[in-house]
Amino acid sequence: MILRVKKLSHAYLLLACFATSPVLAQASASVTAGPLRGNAQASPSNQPLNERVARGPRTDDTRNCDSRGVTVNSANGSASASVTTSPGGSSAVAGGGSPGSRTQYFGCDADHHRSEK
Amino acid sequence: MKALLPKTLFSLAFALTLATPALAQQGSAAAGSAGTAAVGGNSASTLGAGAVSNSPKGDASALGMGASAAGDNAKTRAGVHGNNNLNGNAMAMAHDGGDMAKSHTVCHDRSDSVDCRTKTMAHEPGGPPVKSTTEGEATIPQQ
Repeated sequence: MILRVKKLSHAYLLLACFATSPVLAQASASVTAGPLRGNAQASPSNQPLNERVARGPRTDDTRNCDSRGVTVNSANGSASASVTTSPGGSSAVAGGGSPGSRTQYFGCDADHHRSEK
Repeated sequence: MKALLPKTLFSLAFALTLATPALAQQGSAAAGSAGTAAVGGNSASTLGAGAVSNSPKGDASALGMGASAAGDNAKTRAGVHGNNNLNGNAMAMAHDGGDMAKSHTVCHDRSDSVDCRTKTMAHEPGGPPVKSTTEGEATIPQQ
């Protein structure tokens, strides 16, 4: 009888561990407005690197100062965000992240804004 | 048997107490919002996109903001401030003396949530302003 109760308690404990185990799913958001495109991703840091880097076309052709972009990658790579603009008109982009993240600007801001905080 | 049952319940409750707070904050969330206003030959667009991730290896967040405007008098501005809690702001406006298009996005990247809100406005002389608001919000689900 005592043995049966012990087995039952182990089963409850195992069930409790399963019930409280984290659901570490990837989350992403993409938004578009006129010439702007934005993308943000968050995922557990045990994901493969190529699945948690910021996506988006690089706009590092500095001859065209109307086109800009910014990419933010957190230190452990689990959060990223990027914004790009198409040429034409006036545009501005900005990015930031948690301490240790890398923020890279592309386009005509590239020479002035390359930060790692 | 009677003595063993309280021990079993106690160990079960203890295990849940240990596990729940540590795992409640784990997960990831991402959200964004965007908007465009256009009137006459003026247009203004802004957006923001943010992500936050909490895991045993560390918490992380990233936020990107963008603004674009086209017209006779076009102004844009974007900025992100903060460290762990990020605040982003993007503003775009274009006007030609009469018509005016304006868009403004504000994003907050907190420890367990991301929310962005974009407000746009287009105005023609003699008419009421046309306004709209879009919101994007995501929270790391509680385990």
